Amino acid sequence: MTTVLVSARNVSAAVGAVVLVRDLSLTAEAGQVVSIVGPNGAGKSTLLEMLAGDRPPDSGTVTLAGQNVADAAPLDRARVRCFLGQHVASEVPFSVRKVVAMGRYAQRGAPGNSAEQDTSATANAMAATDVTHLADRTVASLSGGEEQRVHVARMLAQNTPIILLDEPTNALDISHQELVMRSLRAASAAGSAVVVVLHDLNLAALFSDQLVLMTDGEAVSTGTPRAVLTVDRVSDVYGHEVQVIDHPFRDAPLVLPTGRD
Amino acid sequence: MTPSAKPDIRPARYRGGWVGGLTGVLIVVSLISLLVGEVPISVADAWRATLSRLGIETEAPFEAVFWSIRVPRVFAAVLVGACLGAAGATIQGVYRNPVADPYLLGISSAAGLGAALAISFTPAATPAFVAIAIAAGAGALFALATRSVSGATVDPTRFILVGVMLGISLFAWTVILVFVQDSPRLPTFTYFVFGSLGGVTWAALWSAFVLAVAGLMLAMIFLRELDLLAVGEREAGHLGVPVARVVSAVLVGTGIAVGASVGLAGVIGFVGLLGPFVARMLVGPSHRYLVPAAALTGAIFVVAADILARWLAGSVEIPIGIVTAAIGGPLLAWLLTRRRRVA
Repeated sequence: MTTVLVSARNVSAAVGAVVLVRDLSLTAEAGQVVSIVGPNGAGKSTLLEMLAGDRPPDSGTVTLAGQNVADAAPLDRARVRCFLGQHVASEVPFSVRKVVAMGRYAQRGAPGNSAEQDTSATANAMAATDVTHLADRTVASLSGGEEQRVHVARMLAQNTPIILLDEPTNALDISHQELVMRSLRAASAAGSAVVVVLHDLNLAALFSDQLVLMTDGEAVSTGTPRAVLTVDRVSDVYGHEVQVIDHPFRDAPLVLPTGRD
Repeated sequence: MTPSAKPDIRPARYRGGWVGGLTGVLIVVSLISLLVGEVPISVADAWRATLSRLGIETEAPFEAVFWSIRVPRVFAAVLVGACLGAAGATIQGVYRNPVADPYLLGISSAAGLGAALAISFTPAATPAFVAIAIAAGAGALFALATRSVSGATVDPTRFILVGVMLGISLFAWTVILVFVQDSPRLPTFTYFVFGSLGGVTWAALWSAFVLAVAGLMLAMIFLRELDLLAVGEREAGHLGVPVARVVSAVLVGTGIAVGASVGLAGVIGFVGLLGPFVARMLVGPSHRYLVPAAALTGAIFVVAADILARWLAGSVEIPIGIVTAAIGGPLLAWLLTRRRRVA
């Protein structure tokens, strides 16, 4: 028995005559990690903004946990999904602990929530992204990668059934990339649906159940990493020749640029 | 910015202590201010004037000066300083910029124009409340309008520039009105540029007090949400904050408080910058402490500046805004450069 938590049906978005997303459909079930991949300007971030309810689709509908996202008030939306966009304000003067705890805003006052739950959710989120040792530092004093982990922790503290993240690993070193992706897998194992935009195809292949490969606003392929990441398709979509091999010791395909156009 | 291991967060016990300490300082400077002026009043005379006022003693020599002029003046200084200091803190929270302030953003100028128009076009017997209420309304309207015309953009710098430009224009229109009307009822040019605490009446003080309290209460409903705006307006919305409602309430409440202060004492600058700046150094960035602390530092600053305004030049009174600018400018510049070195 699967539960579809995220469902986009035939959504489109355009700015003037430029079509950003064209007639795209996508679903994510509880327990799934779905990664949206594709070249720059493919419409990945626009799609995620529509899923989050940040941007109303020009046509089509987005349903989160059974409710049309356009009909939900900010607080109700925040209890169903968290969303980390690409442009978070910098120079935040508050401590790491306080910023992570901001993720609890929508849960305070929710039925069954307590101050202890807020504290433990905040602590668990900080531990999962390795920022506990920074708890009393101001976010403004952190490095780019540390700051990104704090905001991912803020998402995890929000403790929503749907997790939407736009390139949450682009400032992270390889060790913290894996840490963050593992924490997303853990959230999905606990029953959340995770939809994440990623640039790194190999990271996406390692940690995703489903990939959505986008180009020019359309989903050209949807399926398991092995099904989507074929030599011809990836070379064609990125305009760059690649080889795809089996990962030597993990169960995933590995995309290698050949260096030839 | 280089990473620094130095935590910049004040433990809660210090924050409460600072708020208490600032309250004590405010009481002390206010008591000093009661005694200073063209007619110096001794502590004994002030005491006798108070007893006489209460009907316990009769024939105190300074009762009229003390109770009709000095006491409302000091209360007005406290009220104006508290409004401007708190307003600086809330406006900076909304615009996520530590150099935003109601004076710079033109809210004070808009309220000044409102007061000038009200005084120009109402009959001579109109009570003080009318001009102060119109000033408060103009402040609130302007605070909200600058935000609306610049649209909900991610970049708060644009709001600030719109406010600065419109504020300069409104100030110019006020000056035009002052020259064209040339009426003895209309306060002088100086009042609209540098403010004045001379001539504050009990009636005007009460009117401003009621409006200011209402405005500040409205602006302070969403102090916790102002903290969340620090991660960005869109991000706060993602966290569940009703951003449009929060921003509107804070801007309208702040505009009313600033407008009430302008209606009472004219346009006074630098308080909305210096008050929150000092308060932030003492209690940190959390608005639940920052806004009350900025109200206190702002009040201390204005009361102290008013003492200097009367004491510096003997029988001549220097406009209060001249003193706040003369002291506040270099003080703020020093604090800003000092802080950069620490951070």
